[in-house]
Amino acid sequence: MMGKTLVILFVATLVLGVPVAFTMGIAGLAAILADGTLNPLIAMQRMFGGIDSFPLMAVPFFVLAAELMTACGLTAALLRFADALVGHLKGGLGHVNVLVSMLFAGISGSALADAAGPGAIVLRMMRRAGYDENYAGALSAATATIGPIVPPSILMVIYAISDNRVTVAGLFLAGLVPGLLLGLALALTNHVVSVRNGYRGRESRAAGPEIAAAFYGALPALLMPGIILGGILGGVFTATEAGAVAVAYALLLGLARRALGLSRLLAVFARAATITSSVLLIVAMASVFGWLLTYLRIPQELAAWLAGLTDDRLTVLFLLAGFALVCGLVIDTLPALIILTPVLGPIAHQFGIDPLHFAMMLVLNLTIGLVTPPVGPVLFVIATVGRLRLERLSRAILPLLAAELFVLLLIILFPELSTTVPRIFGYAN
Amino acid sequence: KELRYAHFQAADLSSPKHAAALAFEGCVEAKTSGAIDVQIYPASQLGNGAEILEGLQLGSVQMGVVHDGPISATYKPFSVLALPYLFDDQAMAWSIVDGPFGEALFEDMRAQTGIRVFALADNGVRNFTNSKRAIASPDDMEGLKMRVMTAPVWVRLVESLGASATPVAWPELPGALQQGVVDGQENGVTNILNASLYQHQSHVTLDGHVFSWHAYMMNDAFFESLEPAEQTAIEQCVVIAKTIHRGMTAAQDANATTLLAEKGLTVTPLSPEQKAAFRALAQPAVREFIVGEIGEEWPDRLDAAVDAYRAQ
Amino acid sequence: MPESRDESRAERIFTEANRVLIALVLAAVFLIVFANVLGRYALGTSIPWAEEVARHLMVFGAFAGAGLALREGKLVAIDVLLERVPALRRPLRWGAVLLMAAFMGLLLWYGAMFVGFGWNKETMATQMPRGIPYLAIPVGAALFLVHLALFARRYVRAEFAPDHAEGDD
Ligand code: NA
Ligand code: NA
Repeated sequence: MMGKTLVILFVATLVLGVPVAFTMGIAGLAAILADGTLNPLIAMQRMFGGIDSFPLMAVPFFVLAAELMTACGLTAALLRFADALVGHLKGGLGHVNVLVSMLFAGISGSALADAAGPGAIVLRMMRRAGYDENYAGALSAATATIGPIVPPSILMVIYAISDNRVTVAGLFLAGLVPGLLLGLALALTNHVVSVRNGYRGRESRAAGPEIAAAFYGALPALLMPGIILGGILGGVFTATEAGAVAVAYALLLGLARRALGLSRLLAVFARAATITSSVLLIVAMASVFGWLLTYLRIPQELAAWLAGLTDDRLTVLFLLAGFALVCGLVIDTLPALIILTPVLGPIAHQFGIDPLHFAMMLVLNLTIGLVTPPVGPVLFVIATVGRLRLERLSRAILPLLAAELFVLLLIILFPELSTTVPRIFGYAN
Repeated sequence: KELRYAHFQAADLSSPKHAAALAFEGCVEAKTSGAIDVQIYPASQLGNGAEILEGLQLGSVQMGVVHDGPISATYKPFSVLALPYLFDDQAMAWSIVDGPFGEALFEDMRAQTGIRVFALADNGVRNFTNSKRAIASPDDMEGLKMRVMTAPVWVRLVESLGASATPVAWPELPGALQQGVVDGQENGVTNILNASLYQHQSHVTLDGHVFSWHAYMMNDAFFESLEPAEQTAIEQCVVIAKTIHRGMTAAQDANATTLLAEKGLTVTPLSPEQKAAFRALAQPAVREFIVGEIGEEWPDRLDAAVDAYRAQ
Repeated sequence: MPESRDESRAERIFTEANRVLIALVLAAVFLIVFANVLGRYALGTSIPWAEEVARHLMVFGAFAGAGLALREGKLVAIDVLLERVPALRRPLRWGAVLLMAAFMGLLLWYGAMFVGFGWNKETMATQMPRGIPYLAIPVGAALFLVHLALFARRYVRAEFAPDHAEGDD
């Protein structure tokens, strides 16, 4: 009974256009009040407890670091560097789009940041250069999904707090190979599309001095992922502390380049705090929702049902992936991750699936959901900043989506793609 | 009637808490002919220790097995059990928490918090591990960065022995050890094994500074709402659960040398004289701290219980 | 910065004060964690309360920033229905406003009760009453309700406040 109230209210408020963060809180609190057997203060406890977490603090830090880097003008520097490297190829600006997303991913933890930052800029550049505007938008959206796969990653931080079988550091490492694959797959698709449509690169290949100058300009930004990953791997600090060090580094850069006055600094902090708030509110409210599901034993029953269906590991993995993919179509990525991790994680564990492998599958799966219609937040952002029609954008993204699904298939079939790098550094289970 | 039972260990039979929970479930359901339906939520599914204690008060959880740290934050006098180097052995510790001292403490807690404690079972005797050197005397602790739980009493304990205390939350501990953020930590054998804390440690000193506990607790209003026969059934089944839980943890503690050596740790046992050197530094310092927090009454009663046991 | 003409001076001051508040909270979280890292390496000591205080400040910032997140259009919503059926737009938006107001009203009420519930318990590290960090929920809900009252009509018209973006383009 309570379970039904919960799900119906969640879907109803979602469709009515209530902000996603509140849909879960409203459904949870209303279900508790309607049922009458649970003390409503438990909802307050879950809201508070859901975000009262030190590992979660990596989220505001990585958001802040990326905002500071952008305020220092380093996004533009990364773009110039990417252009110098691959701008001359067929579909050159498309490749720039892919490469800059991969470089930016090493600073930023979120796909939305990539879409609204470099994604929007390259979109305008591609449009001016004569690319089909919907393809340009679709490529910016698709490449933005590299953000949460290449470390650092907000989604991975949140996954790790929902499943204590993996650590943030281990997950960060697990994302390196899949992130690279994602970039390759999108670059390949861009090549095919560009050949077919006759998209060309810039007039001439960049000369050595231009590449060197662009590299020098981008160097401060390129060092950031090294500091974050190096610090974690070298045992200098935890992932959260790495976030704080990244912020300190970005602050130092900003001061050195005289890009940050006091009022600008305050604006950047306020902006990062607002973004953080919107993310953490979702986590807090999803914690109420997820707690109620557990309390009502829905995950436990789902696991028992699934265990009765099959005992083949790969079949289970495909079933879980399919289930997550469907959820990712209709639920926003972050709430889907918070709700599904405690539901599906134990099932995967029960079937002996490597925790890092499963985590990578789920994170990539739900990240792809960011660019799938009807509920694809990154598509919304690109449609808004590029003034594009959602329907056309949704159609243009199909070949890129196919490439991403192919990478997902590889990740499902070959656990080594996710587990090898963490194992080398001693983070495997 | 549904009895939601929350604990923190993994849902497998080698976890003392889970094995005890399963035994409790079978026992209660058999004795009450299914009138009470026990549902177990392992692995912190419903929240961490502090949250389960709140849940016991709010009535969202009927029964919880929680470790001592969070209990002290809800009911302060419970921290008296953190007095270090107090009990000679398990038999003594069990006898005192099962005896009049335990009864008085639990009754006071029930009156103040609405949470009924039935019994305590071991969370293992706490020992120091580290990655630097064998510790045989407090001098060896000098300069080690030792992880402690985030409550100040643990900072006081470790600092009184000369090491530097780094408070790290439990979920961060494996990472902190792996990355060398801390040199060492202190826990019972069960925790060291279950959380693989031995992975990045090379030495363990079996100093047994504190007997740490898991409390079997129930929402008192729920307990009072049950039929007398059901209440008796629950009390009897807690005894079974407690016995299993204590037995499994005690077996691990008793075989600590073998179990930890198998995991590649150099084990340093302490003679009574060596232990006395630790006690001389730590006990007065921690006692002073605890008295400052909760007054003289409970520490004095505990001392009296220890003296009475020794006099037997 | 450009402001909507609907915005009164009082509203601007309130919004700006809220913005400064969460910016400073985030800055404090950063300084505490960073100082703790530095302290551990430079001085070999760590701050016992650092982790707990930083955590609780982050939670406070999250709830205290809810109203601003709404204003700046950062609270993602599923607008498919609104866009398909323009006639429903206004009633649906007003419905969302009422639901949010009711929800935040409940958070204010139950949040305050939760503060009372936590008052006789202690936090682990600083041993302050747990009710103090629990204030995040009712304070955040109260701030949100003020924002909502001031901003509701513009929210219905989907005139989100300018995002204080600092882009390169
Ligand atoms: Na990233
Ligand atoms: Na989607």
